[in-house]
Amino acid sequence: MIELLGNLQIGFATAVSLNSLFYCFVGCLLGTLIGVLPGLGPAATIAMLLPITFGLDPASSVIMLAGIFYGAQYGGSTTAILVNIPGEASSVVTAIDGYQMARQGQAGLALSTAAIGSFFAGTVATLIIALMAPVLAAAALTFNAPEYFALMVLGLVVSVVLAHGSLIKALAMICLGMLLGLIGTDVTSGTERLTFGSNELADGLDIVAVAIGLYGVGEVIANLNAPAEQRTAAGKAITGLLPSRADMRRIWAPILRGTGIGSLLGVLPGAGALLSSFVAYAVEKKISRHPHRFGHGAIEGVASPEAANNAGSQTSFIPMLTLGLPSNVIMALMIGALTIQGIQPGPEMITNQPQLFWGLIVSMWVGNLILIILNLPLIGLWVKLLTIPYRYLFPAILVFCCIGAFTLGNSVFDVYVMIAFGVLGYLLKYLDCEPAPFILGFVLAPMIEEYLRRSMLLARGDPTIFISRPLSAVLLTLAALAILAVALPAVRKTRDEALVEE
Amino acid sequence: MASIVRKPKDLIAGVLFLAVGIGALVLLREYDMGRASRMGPGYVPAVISGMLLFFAAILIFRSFRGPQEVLAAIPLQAPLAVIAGVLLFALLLRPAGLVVAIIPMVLLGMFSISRTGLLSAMLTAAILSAGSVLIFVYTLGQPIPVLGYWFKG
Repeated sequence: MIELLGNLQIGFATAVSLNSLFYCFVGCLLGTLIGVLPGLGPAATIAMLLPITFGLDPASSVIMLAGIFYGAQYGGSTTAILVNIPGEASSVVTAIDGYQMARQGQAGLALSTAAIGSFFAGTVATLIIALMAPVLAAAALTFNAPEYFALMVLGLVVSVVLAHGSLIKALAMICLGMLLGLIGTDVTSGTERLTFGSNELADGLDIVAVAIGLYGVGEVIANLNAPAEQRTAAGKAITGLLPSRADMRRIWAPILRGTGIGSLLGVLPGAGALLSSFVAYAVEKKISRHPHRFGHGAIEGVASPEAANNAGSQTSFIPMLTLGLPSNVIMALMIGALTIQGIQPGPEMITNQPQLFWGLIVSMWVGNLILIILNLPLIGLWVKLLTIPYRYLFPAILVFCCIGAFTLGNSVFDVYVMIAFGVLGYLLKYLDCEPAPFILGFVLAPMIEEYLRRSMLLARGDPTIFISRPLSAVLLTLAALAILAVALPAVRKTRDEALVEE
Repeated sequence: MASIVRKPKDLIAGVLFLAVGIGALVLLREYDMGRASRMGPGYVPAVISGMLLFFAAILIFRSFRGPQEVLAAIPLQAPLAVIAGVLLFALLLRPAGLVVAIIPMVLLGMFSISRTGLLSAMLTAAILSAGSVLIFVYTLGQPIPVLGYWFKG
């Protein structure tokens, strides 16, 4: 406990300096600004804004990134409530009751409920990270190559199991992502692989350019084809921002439940945050004495999923910070940003870079606080932004995407990469292939290859090493069970129901 | 009416994955495979290509079974306009600079949607062009060429 306080103190010293607060503030503001724009989820927002942080020192850049992350998440819920456009998959459930509340003139209450729920969940999840991370990092230091390999395989498998849609397609997408992720110089032999003789490909494809293409350009194209949405709630004056005492009594329990569900499920790779908000909503509906109110503006249906969503996205930092493993696209981008700053996320980070590590954790909490202060007064501005027709917005998004890709390495090549993946993303989406497994495979491929090679070198080519080491045996068994479970028709049906998207 | 192909999307996706897998294997012939205890640069990519081929085969096989699914036409007009615009941006950025490169991208994109007047499209392009120079180059100090080498004799 004393140790925890000491660590948090280190964190506060980093995160609460004037400089850090400034970057946290700017990050939150920019993140919300872009995140509020319809059709742009957190992944696209972060990918587009990443290059801005490259010029800063590591601590400021990480803190600003965390701000962008929370801003983008928060922006997604705001649009879900106000105009029924979920900024990301995990706010889909928020839109169900949140938008109904907005239509009944309770937009302010819905927004503040989401904000309070998120803030509370964020605070709890931050404490969980602060408590868990050192323990896990210490355990991770005893891991060897086979354990890491098994862990990554499990991560990929779980991300597929939690994704919706066809299992085979998701598995194929992982393979495709891994194949493209291996383009570039092979670390061990120095051979340039699959580069088609191009110098620009020697360092491989830039994950950020790929993400801007898939999520930014790809989404713009997809949105242009969709019929124009109805935006009825926007324009109405928003009143009654603060919840009354009676409201507070109705939301505290759902917020607590949501926080618990989110913190637990967020650690899972893949759709952790998505799953947690769906589960939280389902739980609230099940235990409610008035389940028929859900779908017609039930405040619990906003409070619990929003808390779960935020807690989940926060605890999804745990695998990244302690093992150096990304559990979703956003964490993959974070790892990319940290690597550019010369920081290798993983178990050593906590001892080698204590200021940065604890600074990041505390800045998560500060970011949540800034958001609640920043957003409630600025909601009017976000609403105005939403009344801009999409035909004026999407050119701006395209410009951001292009500039973001170019500034990655000051090279037009990254813009071409972005275009290629925009086209690919559009095509694959049309064929019902989800981009998330692709990105995870893409990021993990070089690491998986490295750990597989090291394991086999260690075992002199004997693959039983993965079974003879207890931890890797357990992890791989879990992965096999997960695949088998999804392949069974009964489990498959409930999974499809749980993850169904409107 | 049921045709032989029941899931056209799965078939297309399967063929696509199959093509990538075979293409990768062909390209990988020039790299050293090594053996399991000492893997060469070609080993892991070849294994992954093999897995990709396996899943592609399942997809193709299953696309001939099950209930009939319809293939909606893929909308192309707006996507093509947007892609063409972004390509122009990439081509123009170095020679013409940011100010110019943004204009055709915005115009092409906006004309791909009907209902957009020439004047409002031009105005949007001008605002975005000036705005991004102001924000990205002058405020954030990103080293993007404002005017390209065409303008610097």
